[in-house]
Amino acid sequence: MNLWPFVFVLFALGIFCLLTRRNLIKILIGLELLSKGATLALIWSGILRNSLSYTQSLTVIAIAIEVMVVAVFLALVYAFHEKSSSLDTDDMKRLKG
Amino acid sequence: MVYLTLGFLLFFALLAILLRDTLLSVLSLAAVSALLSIAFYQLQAPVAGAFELSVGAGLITVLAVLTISFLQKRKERRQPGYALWMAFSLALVALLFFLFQALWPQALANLIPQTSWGEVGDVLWRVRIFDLVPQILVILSAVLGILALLRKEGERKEK
Amino acid sequence: MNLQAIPLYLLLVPLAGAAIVPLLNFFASRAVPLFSVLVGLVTAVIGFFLPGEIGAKTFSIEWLPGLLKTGFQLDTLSVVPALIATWIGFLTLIYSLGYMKHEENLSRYYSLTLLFIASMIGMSLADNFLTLFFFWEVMGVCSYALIGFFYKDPKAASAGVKAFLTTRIGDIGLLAAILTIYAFTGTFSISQGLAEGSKIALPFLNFIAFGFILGAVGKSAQLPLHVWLPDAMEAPTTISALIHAATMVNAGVYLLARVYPLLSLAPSWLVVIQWIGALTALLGSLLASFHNDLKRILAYSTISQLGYMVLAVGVGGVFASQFHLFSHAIFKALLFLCAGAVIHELKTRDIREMGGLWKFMPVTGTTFLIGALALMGLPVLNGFFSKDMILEEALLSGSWAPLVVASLAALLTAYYSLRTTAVVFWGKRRTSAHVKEAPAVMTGPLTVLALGSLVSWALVGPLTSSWIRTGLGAPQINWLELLKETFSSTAFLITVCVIVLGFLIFYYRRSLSWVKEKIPGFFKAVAVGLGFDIFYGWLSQQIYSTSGFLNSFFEERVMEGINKATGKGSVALSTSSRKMQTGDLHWNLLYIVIALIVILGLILW
Repeated sequence: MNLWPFVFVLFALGIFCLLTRRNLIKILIGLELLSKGATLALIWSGILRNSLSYTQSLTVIAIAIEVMVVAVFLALVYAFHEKSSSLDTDDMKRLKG
Repeated sequence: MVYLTLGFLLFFALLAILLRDTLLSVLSLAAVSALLSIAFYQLQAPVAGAFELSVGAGLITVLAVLTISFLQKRKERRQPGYALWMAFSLALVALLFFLFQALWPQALANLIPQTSWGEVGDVLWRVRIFDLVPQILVILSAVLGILALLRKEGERKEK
Repeated sequence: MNLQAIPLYLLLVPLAGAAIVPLLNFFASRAVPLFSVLVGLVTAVIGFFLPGEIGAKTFSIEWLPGLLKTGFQLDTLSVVPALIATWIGFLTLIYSLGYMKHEENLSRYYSLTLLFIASMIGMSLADNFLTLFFFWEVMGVCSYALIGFFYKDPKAASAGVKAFLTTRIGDIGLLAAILTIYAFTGTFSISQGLAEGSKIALPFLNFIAFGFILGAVGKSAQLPLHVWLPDAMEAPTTISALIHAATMVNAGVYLLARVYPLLSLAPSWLVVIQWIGALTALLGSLLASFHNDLKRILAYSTISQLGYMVLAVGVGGVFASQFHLFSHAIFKALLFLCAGAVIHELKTRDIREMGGLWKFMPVTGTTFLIGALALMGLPVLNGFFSKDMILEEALLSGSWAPLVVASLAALLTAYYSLRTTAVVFWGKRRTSAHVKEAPAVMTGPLTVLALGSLVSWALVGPLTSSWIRTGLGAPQINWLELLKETFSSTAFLITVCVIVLGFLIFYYRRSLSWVKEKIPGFFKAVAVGLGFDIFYGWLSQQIYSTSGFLNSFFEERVMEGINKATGKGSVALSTSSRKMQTGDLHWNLLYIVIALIVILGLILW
C-alpha cells in the first residue's frame, strides 16, 4: 500500500486552486486542500513508522490549526467584503508597489 | 479499500476546484472532509478520524456556509442546474464503490494494528504537552484576528 | 650620587624643569623665571662632572627587550655640544631674566627653553640613532615654537613654520639614512652601525651619506636650505643666541662629525660636503656684508661660520670642526646677546638707526667688539685658532678650490664684523632715543662670554687628550704647542692676509662706494638674499596650487561621482524591484509556492 501519490496529488490540486482561481472562497478551498493533504501525509508517515498514537496527536493539533486558519480567513473575507463589496482578487490591488 | 475512499476524495476535490458556485464548492469540500475522515478510520487512526469529521466536515463547513450566506445577500447564485450534476456524480461514485467492493474483496483487507483513544490521549498530554502552548497562542490570535476583522465600519473609522 | 648615571641626571633635570614650569606658573607665575634659572644652574653644575666621565662605561637602558636599546656615549665629540647647551643655556637663562621681563606667557618660554636644553643634551649624548632622531625632532619642535613665540606677529608665525618645513626636508634625509643603516646592519646603535658600516656596498653608502648630508644641511642652514635661519630672527634674541647660534644649528655639524667614519667611505660625497661648506661660507659672509638688520647680519654670519665647520668635516678635520663649533658657540652667543641688549634699549633692529652707542653702553660695546674680533679671527682670540685650524686642514688635504672660496669668505667676514661694530657703536649718533646701559643681569653673561672668547682656546689641551682617549684620532696638543703650530703654519699667513685686507676694505669703504654704482644688479640681488627665498616661495606656491587643483578635481569628479552613482544605483535597484510588488494576490501566492519548493528541495537534498 502506497499513499504517497494521493498526498502529492492533493498538494498539487491545492496549489493549482490557489494559483488559478480568482474568487476568495476558492482560495480558501485551495488552502483547505493543502491542509488535508498535510494531515494525510502525517498519518501515512505515522503508519510507516508504526507510531500511530504519536502521530495522531500531531494530526489533532494540525487539524485544530487548520480550523483557526479557516476562521481567520473567513473573517478576512467578511471584512474585505465590507470594504469593497466584491470577492474578486483582481480588486485587491492596494498593495501594488 | 483505502484507495477507494481516497479516489473519491480526489474526485470531490477536483469538483470543489472546478465548480463556479461558491456554495456548492464549499459543500464538496465538506464531502472531501468526510471522506478523509473515513480514510483515517480505515487507516486505524480513529482519533484523527473523529477530529477530522467533527471539525472539517462540521465546523469548517458551517462557518463557510454561514459566511457565504452573509455575503450572498449581495451576490447572486448560479443556476440550480449544477446541483443535478452533483447528484449524478454522487450516484456514479456510489455505484463504482459497490462494484469495487464486490470485485476485489482482497484489497479491502486491513493489516494495520488498532490504536485506542487512551493511547493518543496519553501521548498528547504527556509527550506533546509542549505543543499545547503554541496551540493556545494560535487560538488566541485567531480570536483576536477575527474580532479585529469583524469590527464595524464606523468603529474602524474611529480608530 | 651614582657617578655613572650623571648623563641621565643631566638629561632629566632640565626635562623635569620643563614639565614643572607650567605647573608652577599655575600657582606662582612670578617665580617661573627664577625657578628656570635655578634649574639651569643645577644642570650646569652637573655638567661640570660630565667631562670626568669621558671614556667611562656607557650607560644603557633597554626600552623594548631585544628591540630597542638606548644609552649614552661619552666621548669628547658628544660631550662638547652637551656642555655648550648646559653652560650657554644657563647664561642665556640669566640673561632672560632681564630681557624678557616685560613679556607675557613666560611659562611657555621657559618651559620650551628648558625642554630644548634637555633635548640638545639628549641628542648629543645619544648612543642610538633612533634616540638621536627623536631628540633632533624635539629640538625642531622647540625651535618652531620659540621662533613663533610672538605668535600674534604674522611674520613670526610664518617664520616658525618656514623653519620647521625647511628642516623637515633635512629630517627626511636623516631618517632615510638611519633606516638604510638599520636595513643593512640590523642595528640602531651608533657605535655598532659605524663599525659595521664598511660592510655596506658603495651605492648604498652613497645614499646613506646623502641622507646624512641632507639632514645636516637642513638643520645647520647650509646651502640650499639656509633660508629659514634669517627669518628665524623673529624669535626673542635670547633664543636666537641659544638655539640659532650655539646649539641647534650645531646639531647638523655634530651629526656629520659623528658619522664621519661612514662618510669617509664615500669620498665623492666628502667633496660635496667641502663645496657645500665653502659656498655656504661665502654666501653667508656676502649677504652679511650688505644687510642692515642687526640680527639678520648675525644670522648670515652664523650660516657662514657653520659653512666653515662643514668644510672642516669635508676635508677630514673633524677635531677642527668641533673646536670651531666650541669657539663659535661662545662668541656668537656673545654677539647675539649684545645685539639683544642694544635692541632692547633702542627698540629697533635696523643698524642705520644706531650709532655712537659706545658712550652710553660701554660694557655692551666692549664685549661686542671682542666678539666681533673673535668672529673676524684676530689672533689671540679663540675664533682665530679654530678658523686657522680649519684652513690648515683644508691646505693639508689639498682641496685648493674650497680653500680659496673659504679665504674669500674670511675676507668678507673681517669686513662685515668691523663694519657692524662701527655702524652700531662708533661714529655719529643717529638715534634720538634715550639710551642707557643694560641691567647687570644682562651684562653679567656678556662679560662671562667675552672672557670665554679670550681664553677658551686654551682648553685645547684637555680636549685633544680626551679626544685621543676615546679613540677619535687626532694629534695631542696642549695650548703651548697650539700657539707654536698655529703661528708657524702656512694657514697663518693666509689668515693674516685676509684680516689685513678686510680691515683695509673696511677702513676705505667710503672710497670704495663707486663699486656699488658700477654693478647695481649684483647688490640688488644680494639685498633679496640672492633670490633663494623668492624661488622657494614660487615653488611652494606651485605645489599648493597643483595640489589644490588635484584635490578639487578629486573631490568633484571622483567623490561626487561615487556619491551620485551610489544614489542612482540604489534608485535603479529599487525601481526594478518594485515590479515584484504587483499587488496581485496570485503573484504573491506563486512566490510562496516557489519558495516552498526551493526550501523543500534544500531540505531533501
